[in-house]
Amino acid sequence: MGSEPSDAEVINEVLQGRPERFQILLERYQPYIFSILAKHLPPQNIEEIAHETFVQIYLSLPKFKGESPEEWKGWISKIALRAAYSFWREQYRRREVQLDALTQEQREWVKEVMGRASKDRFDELTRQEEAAQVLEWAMGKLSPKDRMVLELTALEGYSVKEAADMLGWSTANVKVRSMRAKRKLNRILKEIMEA
Amino acid sequence: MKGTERILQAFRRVYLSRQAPEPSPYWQANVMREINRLAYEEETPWWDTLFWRLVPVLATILVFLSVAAIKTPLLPQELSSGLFQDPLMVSFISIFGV
Repeated sequence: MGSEPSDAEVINEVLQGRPERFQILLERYQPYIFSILAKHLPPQNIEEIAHETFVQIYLSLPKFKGESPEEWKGWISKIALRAAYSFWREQYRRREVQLDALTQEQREWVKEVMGRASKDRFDELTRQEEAAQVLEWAMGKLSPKDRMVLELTALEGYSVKEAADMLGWSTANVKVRSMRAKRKLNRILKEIMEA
Repeated sequence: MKGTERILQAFRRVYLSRQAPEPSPYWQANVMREINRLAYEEETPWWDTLFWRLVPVLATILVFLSVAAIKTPLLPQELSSGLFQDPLMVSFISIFGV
């Protein structure tokens, strides 16, 4: 009775000249990589960047020195995050981030959330479609670096050190970016409140 | 900043509820096709790759030279006759000659 090969065994086989065995890693980690990218990218771009991520994983395999499954997952998630960051950098470079002004409904949503809505009302507001629209709009107002840092620290709840490790940046850089991004968001929201 | 924290809290709920879509049916096959191509390129010596990239370029140059030669009276009389007067045949001979 044959058991499933471990990740380390499959990686070894791929490195020894059997690229077709990469299919096992692809099937095993496709949902994991898709779930990471779904948080950071528009739905229509997830497949394309996931494709790039797996190609990058294959090309970087000789550099992987970890042993445990946790180390492997951490390593591939870093590659996925960096691919997402590159995507946003490219979008900003080509100026393809579309930022229409907020609609009246979206402005009302911001005002109500920032005000003193009761807990039940707050829960209801987070379920409204304006929530996702304003989130996209607000993230689009930030630079790609600020966007990634804010998503990882303020929205996903990673520590500054964890986010720095994932993005391959210094802790000081992530800390400064995180504060700057929050201040910028605060400024944008104030403008909406005062309008 | 309190209002911003509330907005971030609302954003967090939306953000964490984002679901990954199912990949299209050919997504995995496309990734594996590229992986196999990369693996093939890694195994093939550079001079082999270069040779096969040069073949169509050389063939095209030969076709143009042959056609140009036929159209000019510079070739000896015996070459400007028969098979070599038909551009299609010249292309055929050039490509398969290479």
